[in-house]
Amino acid sequence: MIKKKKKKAELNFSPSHKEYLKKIKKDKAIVLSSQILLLVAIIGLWELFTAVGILDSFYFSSPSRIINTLGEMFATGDIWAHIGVTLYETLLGFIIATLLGTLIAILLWWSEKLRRILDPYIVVLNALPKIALGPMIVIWFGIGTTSIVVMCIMICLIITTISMLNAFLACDKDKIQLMKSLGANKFQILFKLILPSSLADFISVLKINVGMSWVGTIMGEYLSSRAGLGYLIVYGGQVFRLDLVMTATLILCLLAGGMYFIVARIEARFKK
Amino acid sequence: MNNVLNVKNINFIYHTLDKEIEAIKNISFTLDKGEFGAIVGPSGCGKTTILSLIAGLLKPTKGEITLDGKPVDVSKIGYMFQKDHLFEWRTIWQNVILGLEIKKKQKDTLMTDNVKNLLEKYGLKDFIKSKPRELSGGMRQRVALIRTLATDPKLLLLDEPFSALDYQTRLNVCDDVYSIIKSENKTALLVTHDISEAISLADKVIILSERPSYVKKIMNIDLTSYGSPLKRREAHEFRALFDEIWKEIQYDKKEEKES
Repeated sequence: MIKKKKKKAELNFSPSHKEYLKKIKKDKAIVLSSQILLLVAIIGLWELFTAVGILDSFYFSSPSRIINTLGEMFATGDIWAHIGVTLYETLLGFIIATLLGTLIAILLWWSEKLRRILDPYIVVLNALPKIALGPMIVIWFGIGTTSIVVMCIMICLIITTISMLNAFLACDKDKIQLMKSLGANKFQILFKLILPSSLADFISVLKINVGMSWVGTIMGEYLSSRAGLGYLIVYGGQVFRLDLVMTATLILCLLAGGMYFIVARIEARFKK
Repeated sequence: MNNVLNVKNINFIYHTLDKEIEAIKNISFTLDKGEFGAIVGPSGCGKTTILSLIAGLLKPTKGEITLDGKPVDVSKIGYMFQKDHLFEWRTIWQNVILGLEIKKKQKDTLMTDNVKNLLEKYGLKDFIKSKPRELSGGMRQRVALIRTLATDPKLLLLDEPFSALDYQTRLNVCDDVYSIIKSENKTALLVTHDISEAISLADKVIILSERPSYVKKIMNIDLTSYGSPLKRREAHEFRALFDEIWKEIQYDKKEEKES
């Protein structure tokens, strides 16, 4: 029904408006084709330079070697285990950190006292490079998944708490006054005003955390792991197998991009 | 006694780190059932503080405020703000029943039918399922008023409800809001810095002094031209009333400069 209406409206556009729409379409096409061209150029030049020996493929690998490595890894099926481990750790860390961080932000919003007491601790924890906690985490949680998930949570948690708390506190004072004048208690103010009005901020936190949780997981895997894409990268680096390093990095790019894409889709749905 | 609102000798002091500030000094006035009051005064004289006190959101340092003879209680009050503060994530219907929802009365058909009637009466029935951003500024302010009326308040408090609108919309919305309040026979108290707005709306204008504010004068407005606020503006004594109030407020400022 709506589509039909759109079609009909298009027929009635003036020539100048049609021209305008055409120009926008053309611009879009130029951007997209340039993006593809750039990718093809990078891959092509990389392959060419390594083939003629300008770049040493021992240090720089090459697209064809990456494809070969990919083929081998998928043929033996090893790669699925590594992808699975990393994806599991990342998603677990991402979900726990986002929920826990938001929960802490709610508690801090609820109690101004608590907020003031904890403020310096949050500032210091935020400034601290979380990687410094690595050795401690490994000693406390052992080598493997638990440590890596904890690392991932450490990286995402504070930034989630700070961002969400700022969003909660940015709520219009008059809107809170309005809720009070309608007789709302603190729970109702939280659930009917503060949380819904912070939805956009929550989604931007999700987007930030997609990136951060991958950083956390890979860092965790660098520190202590027996499997995962981060493990493959470290291992490949140690035995000088750049093909392996590059291949794992490529898979990582695709996974992180995919996860970001899913969050972007969720955002688009809420914006409707 | 048909006073709905009785403000008796209220004082209000608030504290900052460096000092305590006397904001309100011995203010008294009353409003009858269905009466429209307006508070005017120089900026920063604590007009909004008075509304918060009457709404029961702040407690006066001294004095008492009663509504129908009982101490004020926020559940009997409807509060309207400068901005409409409609929640963008709710539909118009969900916005207008916000107050009922908070009081857990959204299933009370007597109350919701009343809200439906109000929406129909004031031309918003077709927008029940719309989101606030689809409505014009004037319509949004009407929705905000219906949200306030939904809980059937005994007293409406209007905190410069038109000042965020552009001039033309403002005059129109002012007419709308006035006619809604009058036809629902609500008692209302408006605070504004706009003197002509006060005269065009109110039966009674309460002029406040600079801080610490006290009541300088209470004027009963009885215009020869009546009906809508726009009509009321045509009354020949409008200008004289305006000057009188203007002088009262200015006089205060002059005193301040000289002292």
